[in-house]
Amino acid sequence: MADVSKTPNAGAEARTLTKSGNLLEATDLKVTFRAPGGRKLHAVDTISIGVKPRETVGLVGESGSGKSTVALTLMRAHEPESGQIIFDGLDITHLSERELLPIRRKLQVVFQDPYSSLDPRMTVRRIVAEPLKAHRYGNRSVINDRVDELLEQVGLPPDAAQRLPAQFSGGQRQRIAIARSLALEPMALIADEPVSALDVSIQAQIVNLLRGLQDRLNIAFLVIAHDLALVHQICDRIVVMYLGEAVEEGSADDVVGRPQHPYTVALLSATPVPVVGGDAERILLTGDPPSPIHRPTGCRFHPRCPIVQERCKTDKPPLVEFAPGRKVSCFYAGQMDPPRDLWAHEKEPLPESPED
Amino acid sequence: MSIVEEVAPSASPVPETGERVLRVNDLVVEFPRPDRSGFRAVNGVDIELRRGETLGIVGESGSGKTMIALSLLGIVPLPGKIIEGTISLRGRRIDNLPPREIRKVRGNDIGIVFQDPMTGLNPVRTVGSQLMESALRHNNLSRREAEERAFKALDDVGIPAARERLKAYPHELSGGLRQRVMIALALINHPSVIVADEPTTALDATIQAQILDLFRLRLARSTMILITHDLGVAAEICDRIAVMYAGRIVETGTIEDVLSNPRHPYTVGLLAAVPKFDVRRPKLVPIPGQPPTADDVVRGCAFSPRCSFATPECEERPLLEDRGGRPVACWHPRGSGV
Repeated sequence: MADVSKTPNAGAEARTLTKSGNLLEATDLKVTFRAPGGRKLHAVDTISIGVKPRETVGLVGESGSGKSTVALTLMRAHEPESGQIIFDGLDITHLSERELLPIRRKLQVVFQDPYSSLDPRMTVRRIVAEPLKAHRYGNRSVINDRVDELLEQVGLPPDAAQRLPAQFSGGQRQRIAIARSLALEPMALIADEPVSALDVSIQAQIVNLLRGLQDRLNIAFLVIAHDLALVHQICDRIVVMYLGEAVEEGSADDVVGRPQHPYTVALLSATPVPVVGGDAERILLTGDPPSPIHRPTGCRFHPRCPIVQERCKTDKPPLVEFAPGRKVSCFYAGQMDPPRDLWAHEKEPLPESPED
Repeated sequence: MSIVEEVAPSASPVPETGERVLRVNDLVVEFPRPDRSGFRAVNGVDIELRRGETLGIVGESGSGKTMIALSLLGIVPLPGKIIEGTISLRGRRIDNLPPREIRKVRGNDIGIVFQDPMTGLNPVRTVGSQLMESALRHNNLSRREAEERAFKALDDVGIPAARERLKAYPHELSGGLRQRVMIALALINHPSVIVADEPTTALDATIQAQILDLFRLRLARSTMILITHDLGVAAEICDRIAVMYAGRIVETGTIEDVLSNPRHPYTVGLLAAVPKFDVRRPKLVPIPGQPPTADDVVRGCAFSPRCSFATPECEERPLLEDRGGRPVACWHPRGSGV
């Protein structure tokens, strides 16, 4: 790449960034699948996202929004119909599996379900060592030392190595999966709903673990999740997806505190919080998200939009950058009030925590 | 000990005069273990439900909340069984009924909403025929009357074009509509109690909001037990909640009291672990460790190994009893008593 620059400070291994400063960058990514009857399913339609080193970007949407397809396409598990994926300065959009091998070492993934992502017949040591062996990390004792180090990093006891996944709870299994994903010191980690299979009290453990690891290991995170409160908690930036497209993007506080797109407002309003009578009246969307096979004309969101106008039915609003890093695709952006005052807590003390 | 009677009447939005509809007394559900005594998934739970109120049973995986729902329905999966306690519905014991009799109660006097409508509905039969079957089984109706009732049931839960939907198969409906059908099925025979087990957990946020709205507006006066892991969902539709941990209720009270003044350290911990919309993003405070599994032997307070306030006193199990105005099973309750 001509327009890339090396960053000297980036940990053990130098990262090569795009001119926008992204370690991982997808431009105009489009993914379609063949649906029965020869029709096209538009899973992802022309999305661009970038993740900088040490940054956490959240990709938020409901089922069928295409968020997981984006993740899998970035991992090159799906072939994009068009668009470009650049990672560490290299265009990986069309690399062969063989050429991808060194990339896979640097770009790792953690899946949602720690029950199906770990081989039940392998010991934890073998599970965590597997990527190390595949990438010829070193001899047996080097690998064993690395596994012990990793288990400690993710907060598992040393004797965990000898045991099988079935002997661990969901949260501990997710720690094992994270240890495996960190084994090769990746530059970037894609986490697809990393905590949504876990209980609330355990979720917080894993969220804090991921944050701590990011600070220590200088990793770029792309987090796919449906829970806006969680994404707001852990992400620097948020991209909101609807029916395969990005409808809003910006800093986490901005998207959640000053949402511009009616869908973002509705999604925020739909999230239940454990406070009685704490929320303003809920904005209810009618109907369900439409099918990615038969997409509505004009704005994809118009059949459910509370403030729809005539032109939304025929004209498609472009994703416009209205402030630096802040994008929205709506003709009537900003016309709905945010459902909650994000800064309201500033007047109150923090809730009591058991550590107090 | 009952739950209702210990709540200060003024604190409850539900008139205390409501007739007692359901009473669960010292319920114990046990699963055999190969080596030692059985594992008690539910371990001495008391519940009282009055007409028109919604009680939330809140807990995490393995806390026993779903097993309570299954006990009410008489469908505790084998080899588990109710070994102690009683369940009474409108004054009549239903925990010891023969299968034939409990079937007359289930779907009739107790309506059921499960988490996943795809498993709760028969995929090869139309929505209308399933609704009509339930109406016909429990009532003396003509087919025409049953069809009218099925239509009314769908219409009542906000399904548009209800007449045509009677002919639809479950797979032809979206997830949100299917859950509405489940609710219609639960309501069709005007049950005394509705048991809803995680009714919105499988749904997307915007669809969940629609169903919660349905609960709030159209089922507000229903008598209901809501099983959920989500304190946010409970906050929306419950009058009272009971927080469960390791098979026992650890705290109970009106939803306002429990959320604004949590007293059991587990409830305090749960609330601190939930991400909130706050620009300061206070670090989430996890509860350390793991809940006990079916293989663990629990002594004293089951939460004490994870509790930062535990003292030697906690080796003796604290009973769920009034501590400063509300039932809490803890020697060292947090927050303030009344």
